[in-house]
Amino acid sequence: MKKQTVKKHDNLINTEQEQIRKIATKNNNIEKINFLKTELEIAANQIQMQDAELETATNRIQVQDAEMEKSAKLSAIGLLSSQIAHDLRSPLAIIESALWLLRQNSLTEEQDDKLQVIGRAVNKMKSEIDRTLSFVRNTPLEIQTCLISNIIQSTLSNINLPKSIKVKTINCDVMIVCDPKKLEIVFTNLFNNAADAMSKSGDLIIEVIEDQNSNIIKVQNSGPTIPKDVLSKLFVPLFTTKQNGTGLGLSSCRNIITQHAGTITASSEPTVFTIEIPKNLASIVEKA
Amino acid sequence: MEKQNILLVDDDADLLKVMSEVITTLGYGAILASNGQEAVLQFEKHIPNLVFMDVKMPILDGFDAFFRIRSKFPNANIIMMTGFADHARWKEVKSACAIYLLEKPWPTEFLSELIRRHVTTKVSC
Ligand SMILES: Nc1ncnc2c1ncn2[C@@H]1O[C@H](COP(=O)(O)OP(=O)(O)O)[C@@H](O)[C@H]1O
Ligand SMILES: [Mg+2]
Repeated sequence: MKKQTVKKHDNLINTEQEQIRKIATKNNNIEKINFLKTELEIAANQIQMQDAELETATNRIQVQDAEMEKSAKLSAIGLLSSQIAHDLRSPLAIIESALWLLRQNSLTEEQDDKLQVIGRAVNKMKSEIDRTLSFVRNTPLEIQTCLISNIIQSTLSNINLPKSIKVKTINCDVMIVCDPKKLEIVFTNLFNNAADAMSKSGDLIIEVIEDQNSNIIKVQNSGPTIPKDVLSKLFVPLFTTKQNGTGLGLSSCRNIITQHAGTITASSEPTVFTIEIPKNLASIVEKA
Repeated sequence: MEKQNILLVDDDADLLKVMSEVITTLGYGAILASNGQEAVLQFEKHIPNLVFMDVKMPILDGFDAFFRIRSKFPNANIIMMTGFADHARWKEVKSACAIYLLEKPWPTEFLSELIRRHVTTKVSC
């Protein structure tokens, strides 16, 4: 009887041990599973990272593609526009000379009026050509000392701003060392853009601030605020929000001002384009 | 006083037409040529006081014609005309005493002043 009990006891112990072993194996398995799970997670993370890298690489390729397309486009525009410029300037010379010949006779008021319209149209075409060419090729600066107000007046007389736009100049009787023809291209672009932005009516304010080392010219216009995403792209070649825009205006402006060893920046609320040109431009150019 | 003659060289017939009318209105005589080769011949024939020479022309372009005239006539007064300045080649002719690079289009008042200043002077090169 006693033996039996012992045996029973032994059996019991055995089953217990068995159970412990089973539990141990189970624990071991759980550990393994946990381990595998972590491994799996790491692998998944790696795949995600590689995915992200792939995406960045794809994006980079897309950006490069877009840039290549743009530079191809730009050089095509360059070739085409210098060709067009040469071909248009001869006929313009013909029209201008013919206008001058007609003006040698006495004219009726009606004839004189129409000739003035033609003259203005010719001027507009000239400045369009200059604008495109100044973008395509940097011709050397022809430096002079002149009154900023004279350059502004000359610009205003060549472009036809709507009468409803009020032009105000503040402190513009300042002498500046610059290439006046090129600065006129800059003003033409800024004024035309301002007129486009204001559509019907508004204020165009041009202010000159004399700094110790530079002249600062601010061109401000009323009108809607420039959205943030547009503001960051203003000077990018070919960027335009206009149906008939070229997107070359402001990038030409920047080319020209950079040639003057200066800067041009834009800010919104209110819309202001700020040009800064060093006063010692002549000596900078001489050294170059 | 004998009339001063100006040789006009351009491949555009209408440009020659209006420019010669402008020049006669201003009181000078106009001689015409429609390419560089004709220009050289006309120059030798008339020895004009001043030349306006387009750059881009068929047969013989303005730069080449310039050098042909210059090699025989070191005193020739030559003004180049262009729609779009090729500054590299302009430097070449400038160093051979071309007077001026006139960019098209020009205000006639400017043309008149340019003629007045250079029609009687003699370059020596
Ligand atoms: N004064 C301004 N007010 C608001 N937006 C402007 C102004 N000037 C320029 N822009 C914006 O910048 C863009 C680029 O201008 P620009 O380079 O001159 O080319 P374009 O006038 O041909 O569009 C315009 O399409 C417009 O969206
Ligand atoms: Mg514009």
